Amino acid sequence: MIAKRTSRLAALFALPAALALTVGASSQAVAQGTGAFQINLAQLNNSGSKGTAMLSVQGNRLTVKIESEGLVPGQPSAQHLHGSTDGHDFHCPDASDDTNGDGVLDNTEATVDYGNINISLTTKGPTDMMSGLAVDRMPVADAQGKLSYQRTIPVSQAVVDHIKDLHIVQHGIDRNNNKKYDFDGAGKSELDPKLPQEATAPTNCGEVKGAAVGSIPVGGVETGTGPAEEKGVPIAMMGAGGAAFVAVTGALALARRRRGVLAAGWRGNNGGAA
Amino acid sequence: MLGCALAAACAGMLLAGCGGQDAAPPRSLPAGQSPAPGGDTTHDGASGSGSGSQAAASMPKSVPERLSIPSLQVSSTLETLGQHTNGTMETPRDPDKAGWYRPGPTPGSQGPAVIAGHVSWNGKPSVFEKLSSMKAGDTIEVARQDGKTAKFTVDRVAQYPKNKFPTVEVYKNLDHAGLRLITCGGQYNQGRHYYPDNVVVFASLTGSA
Repeated sequence: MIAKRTSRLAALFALPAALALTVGASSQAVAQGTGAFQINLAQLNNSGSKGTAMLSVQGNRLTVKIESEGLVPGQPSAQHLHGSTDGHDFHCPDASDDTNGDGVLDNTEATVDYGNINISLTTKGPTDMMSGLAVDRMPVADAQGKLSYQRTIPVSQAVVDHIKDLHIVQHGIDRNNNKKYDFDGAGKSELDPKLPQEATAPTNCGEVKGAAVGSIPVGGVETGTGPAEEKGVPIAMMGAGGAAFVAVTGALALARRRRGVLAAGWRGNNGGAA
Repeated sequence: MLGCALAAACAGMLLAGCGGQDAAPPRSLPAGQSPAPGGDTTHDGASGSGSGSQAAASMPKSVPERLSIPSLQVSSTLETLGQHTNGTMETPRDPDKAGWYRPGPTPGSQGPAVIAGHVSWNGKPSVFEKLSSMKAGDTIEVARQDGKTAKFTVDRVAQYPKNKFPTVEVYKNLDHAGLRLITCGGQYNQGRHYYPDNVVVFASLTGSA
């Protein structure tokens, strides 16, 4: 797929050891109670995408499940929890935020409304803001444009306390309908001219609301495995490499994120179905 | 279909959960039911009344006391179910009783109310033995503490591997009062005393009395 570029991406990411703060077991309180939330993802940029996400909070662990459709088949969809945990009221944008009037609501225009990245919803490894465009660790939509995502990550107390101030945004559109992110679709990304706008523009957004189910069960209805057997459904899934996770709250300068993080000439692989 | 090969070897250990050591194999879904992964298209808040019945207005909150499924001749008082410490749903201690998932809505209230029950237990049929034979249009009644009865009509029945359980589809918010009945299904694994799948009956409130 983007194997060649993966190593370049990795090299460009300043992220690793320097930034990694260990949110270790010691900082996780014994479960202070659970919370369940739902997010209805509605389209942006006339993408036709939509979805439902559910969040489960237990202590300082956040489980995120997303089911969405209308994404670009075979392409990675960068996705994040955006917003602030210090009380600033961000919200999902609409078409009126296309302030340069070019017909595309790009990420920078939308950030005015939905705020900066708080958590990057990667499939493995770090989830901090610097991982915002780590497309090699973002979920890929299947051939029907559907995307499923599930992960449990440790988060800061600020995120737990302000979860309802956050929103989920998925990125990636296909303006010229050719099933890949390319420059012909919508030009260059304002975040990095080496990336297509199609890759970084938001495709949907949703705000956190309460869930009617006060607590979301894990997995199926466990049966046939013996009484009171805690059948290893791990609540915490630490990254494959054992990397420490960082949940960066507050606004890091967007410029800092742009520089030094983005691959040169990254182009989604149109052959790689999920 | 599995025979009851372990009948003679039943060690008598009571296993929690649908299976037991020597379980009757569950009925497969009727051919018309499509248990595709992911089930049906997500009705994102839509009324989802596949049977064509009219949705009824949601009722106030009231603890459920009895579940009846006339077409299966099921009638059961209800245990209340919470979560184990690992987050999975508890299952009823009494195999003849279904259980209501207490963190969810009360049946009849807006949202996804959930009732779970065993399909079999130690070789004997349990309360939800025939759940997978339900079909769109069947009715379910839940009598509540407030004296009212919530009546639901089945929209669809689906089967999913437990390790791909469609959490969002089952537990997401609804714009109407919904009910999910859950039990085990799939090819019983005798070595592990385990059913690999869950069967989920999706129903919507269509009346109250």
